[in-house]
Amino acid sequence: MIARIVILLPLLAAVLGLAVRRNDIAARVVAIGSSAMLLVAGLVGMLAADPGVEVIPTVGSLSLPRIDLPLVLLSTQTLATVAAIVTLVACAVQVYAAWYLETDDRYPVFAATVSLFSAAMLLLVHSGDLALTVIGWEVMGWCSYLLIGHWSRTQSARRAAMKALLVTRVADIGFVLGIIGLAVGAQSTGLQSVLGAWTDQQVCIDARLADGASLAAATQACAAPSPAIRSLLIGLIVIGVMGKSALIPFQDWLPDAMAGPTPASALIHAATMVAAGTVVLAVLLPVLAEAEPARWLLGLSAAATMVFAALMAFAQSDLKRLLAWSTVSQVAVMLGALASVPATVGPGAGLFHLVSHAIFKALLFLVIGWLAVTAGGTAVEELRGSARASLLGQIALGVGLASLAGVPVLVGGVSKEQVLDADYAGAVAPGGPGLVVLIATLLSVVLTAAYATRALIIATTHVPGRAAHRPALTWSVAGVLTVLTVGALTGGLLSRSAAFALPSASWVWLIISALLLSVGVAIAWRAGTRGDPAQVLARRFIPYADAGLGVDRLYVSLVARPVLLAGRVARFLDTEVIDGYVRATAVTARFTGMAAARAHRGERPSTSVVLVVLGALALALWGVLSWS
Amino acid sequence: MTMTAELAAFGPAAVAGLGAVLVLLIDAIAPRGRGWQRWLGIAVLIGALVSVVWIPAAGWPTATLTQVLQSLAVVGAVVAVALMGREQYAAPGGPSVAVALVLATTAGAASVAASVDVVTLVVSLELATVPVVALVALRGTRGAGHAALSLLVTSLTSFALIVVGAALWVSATGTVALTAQAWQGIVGEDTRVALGVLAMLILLSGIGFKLSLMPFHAWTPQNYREADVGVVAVLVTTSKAAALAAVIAVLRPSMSSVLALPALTVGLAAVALTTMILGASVALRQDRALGLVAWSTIAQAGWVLLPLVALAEQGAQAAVAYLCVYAAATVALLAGVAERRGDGELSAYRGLIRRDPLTGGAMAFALLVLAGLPPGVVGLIAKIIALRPLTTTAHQALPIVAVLAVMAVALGIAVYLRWLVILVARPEDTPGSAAPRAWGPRIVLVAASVTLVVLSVAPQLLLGWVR
Repeated sequence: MIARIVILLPLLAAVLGLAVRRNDIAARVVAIGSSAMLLVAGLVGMLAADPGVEVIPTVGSLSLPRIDLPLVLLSTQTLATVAAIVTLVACAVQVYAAWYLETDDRYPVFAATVSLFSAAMLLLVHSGDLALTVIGWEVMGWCSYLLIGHWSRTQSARRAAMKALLVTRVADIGFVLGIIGLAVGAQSTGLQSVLGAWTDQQVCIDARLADGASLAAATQACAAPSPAIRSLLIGLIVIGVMGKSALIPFQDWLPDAMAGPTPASALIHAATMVAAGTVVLAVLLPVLAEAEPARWLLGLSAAATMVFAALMAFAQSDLKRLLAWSTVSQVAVMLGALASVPATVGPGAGLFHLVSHAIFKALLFLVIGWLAVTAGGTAVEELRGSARASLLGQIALGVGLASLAGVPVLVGGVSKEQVLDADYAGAVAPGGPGLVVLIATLLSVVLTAAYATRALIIATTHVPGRAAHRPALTWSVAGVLTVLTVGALTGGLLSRSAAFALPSASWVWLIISALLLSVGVAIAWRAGTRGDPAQVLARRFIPYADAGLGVDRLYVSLVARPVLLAGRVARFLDTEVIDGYVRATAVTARFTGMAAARAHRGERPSTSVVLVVLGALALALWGVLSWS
Repeated sequence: MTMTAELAAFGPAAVAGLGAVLVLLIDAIAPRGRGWQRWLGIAVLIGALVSVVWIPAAGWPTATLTQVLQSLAVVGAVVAVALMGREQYAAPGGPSVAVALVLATTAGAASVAASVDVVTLVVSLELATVPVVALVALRGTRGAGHAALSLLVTSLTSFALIVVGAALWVSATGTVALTAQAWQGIVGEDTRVALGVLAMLILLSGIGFKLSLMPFHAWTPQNYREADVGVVAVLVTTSKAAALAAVIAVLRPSMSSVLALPALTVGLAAVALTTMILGASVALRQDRALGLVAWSTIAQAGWVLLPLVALAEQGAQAAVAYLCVYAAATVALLAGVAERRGDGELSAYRGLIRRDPLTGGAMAFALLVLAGLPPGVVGLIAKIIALRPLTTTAHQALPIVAVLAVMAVALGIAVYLRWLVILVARPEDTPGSAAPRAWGPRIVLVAASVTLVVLSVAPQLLLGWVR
């Protein structure tokens, strides 16, 4: 029941918000009021969730020949908790955006887009039907284009929006193909039918028989799984997820997406778009776990991404881009966990890291954005020492960064231990990329601690000769930051709820991660607390890191140029070769007409007679020649 | 075949011919009267139409075709009387001669449609053609004189050919009758069959000028341009009906034959395709309204001939159906041209559809029918009907014929859309001259357009008649 409200409420808010877009105040009331209601609904949904699976019908099922679309929603404790966190972030972003975009003339459209975006993400979370999943996925893709390109008057925002759209669309080719394949194989888009059809045959047949199908029909419907095809289809879906979650080789769109307003960054990079792939793969985990090649694809890409992105983050000269690369790295950590865990362990660790990341990353974006308003920019030079003047800023930033680094007890620390635990379970289980992911994750713990420390040092260092401006603090911002800070401090308790089915904290991993963490902090600390550790450790690397190692150019020369070239070749073939024939017929017709018209210009009776006689002779000759 | 039925088929010809004599007699007795000639002419033609309907059809399988062709000839004559301009009626001899000539040519055409032997055919064709030469020449302009001369020499040459063809036919079959029995008599004797085919080809080359087939067409553009619009209407309807009737009469003996006649088939197909493609190509270059109508007539003549390539009774029906649709559409165009007082540059029709929606709309619809484009559905149906008989012939040249016919359709669309675009274009700001309304052209325009619209809305009327 709550699931329907949670999806419809932001959808209505989006429609209503667009309806009142001429009135700034009404738009604010709609946006904040609806998101507050949404948060309440989300929390109620989380607390009231029963153990077990609740199937919620929507518009009734669609039965087409050879495939049926049940169009249902699913609600479990896990999904309700993820949804609640999404509503929390959405609410925080709406409240924050009302302040952040106070003077922006297109604020109402922005707020409506955020509402629509949240509705799409919540639909995806609660979807019990692959068709609804695709709808949520697509709507998010388009909304991210609108949000990143919100300041469409600047060239960089337009380019970033287009880049995000194009890169994720390319990957979506795989996603849509994979979804279609799974649905066709199961003869249904219903999530449970798909899982049944593509995992264990006996389970599937039993489920069909229980639905009242005949034995023959059930056997036929469940005959689909072929390991190769299953691996291919899940592999295609993984490619789509890699695009949306900015894993290598699709990673480069996300840092550029920082051209969007900070609230949009917080929404896209904390709880929604980049995390959507985690949700999809978590619900498809039973199938994913049996598709070995797809697991390797996801695991290797995630392992490479989490280390690479952490290195990039360390050497960014812009703190907002640092957070973006950190998102890339952390999402890879979640997906790595999903790639490595065996089906018996379940997706809890990955999902919990999603929740935890949503809380602390939203907090970090909003703090940095708030500080940047006073400092005048998000570059390291501008933000240096900016947090010193505000106690709330210091606490919020500190808690956020510590959580990001994985300090025990904080939400990020708890989730990271769970991820390591899950990775270890995958590493010791036969098959799968568990070991690679485990090593990469351990490495990323060190690097994450290092760049988190660096960010903290930059924001709190004393800058001689610069008067510390006290950032303007409104009640709304203070409230949002406080709530999120408290969330980051206490969110670890969620791991004890039944929602994620997590084992209790493992002391071994707690100690190991604490040790690695200290190594990372020490590395950054040793480089000096006065300046920028990156300037000391990796000065030459900074320009390259800022450019994302030039991957953008790689995209242009390897993908964009060849596609444009192919387009030009096709156009050339069309206009010069195919149209050539068409034009030739026109020229021939015109020429024939001209020549014949000229031949008739004289209009002498003798010409007529000669023509008649010649025609008669020709016909008679033909008659004589074909005599034999 | 009964003798009475055959004689009754000449009824309309007799009525029209007597009517012509009557007009001339009354004029000789009372030369003062004015204006009655038209009405008397129309009354005579209505009488002829009544006698067409009264032909007993029983026992005569081709009676329907004869009736349709005779009706077309008679209705065409009514249209001609209605469309002929003041200058034509004021020509030497006055309206009596003009009306009498129209009636005479109608008598000839009706007689051609009824003839089943070579001798009657030759005489009837002469009767159908010579009055038209006179009608063109009577206009009195220098250009009309030249045009009439051209038509006259062409027709004389052609009659010579027809006579040669008739002689060959008689020597091949031993009879003057153009019947299936005559053909049956020579089947099995290769030499006589070959001679019979040669006779048919030469007869066709003699009749070709009347249908404006290439290369017998050269007189056409000149006459369409120089003659009065009413006389052009005679050429488009009555004269064409006579020509098609003659072609069908010549080909009829071979239609019931089980013998494949590749020489005849290929010869007919070559003429039809050359005509439709070259005619359309030249029509593309025309800048004057009647020039375009003339070359469009030549192109459409190829389409009229095309179904006959199948050498089957169904082909004859299809050809007649196509001719009727073509004639209705062209008459609508001619009525529009007559309202604007004769020939003119195409550009003079710019924006006509906005200035005069009735005339412009009717002309636009007629052009769409000729191009075979919806909403002129009947034009499309006619083209389908014309192509359908070909599918029954198993000749290996059929694919080539189909490809060339498609080319001709494309060219045709270009031809008619050129004029259509001018009709619907935004008119230039020059104030249109308010031409005095003539009732004749207006009634013809409305009647022809109504026919086309009705046939487009209910094409089954046409499809039902053609099996």
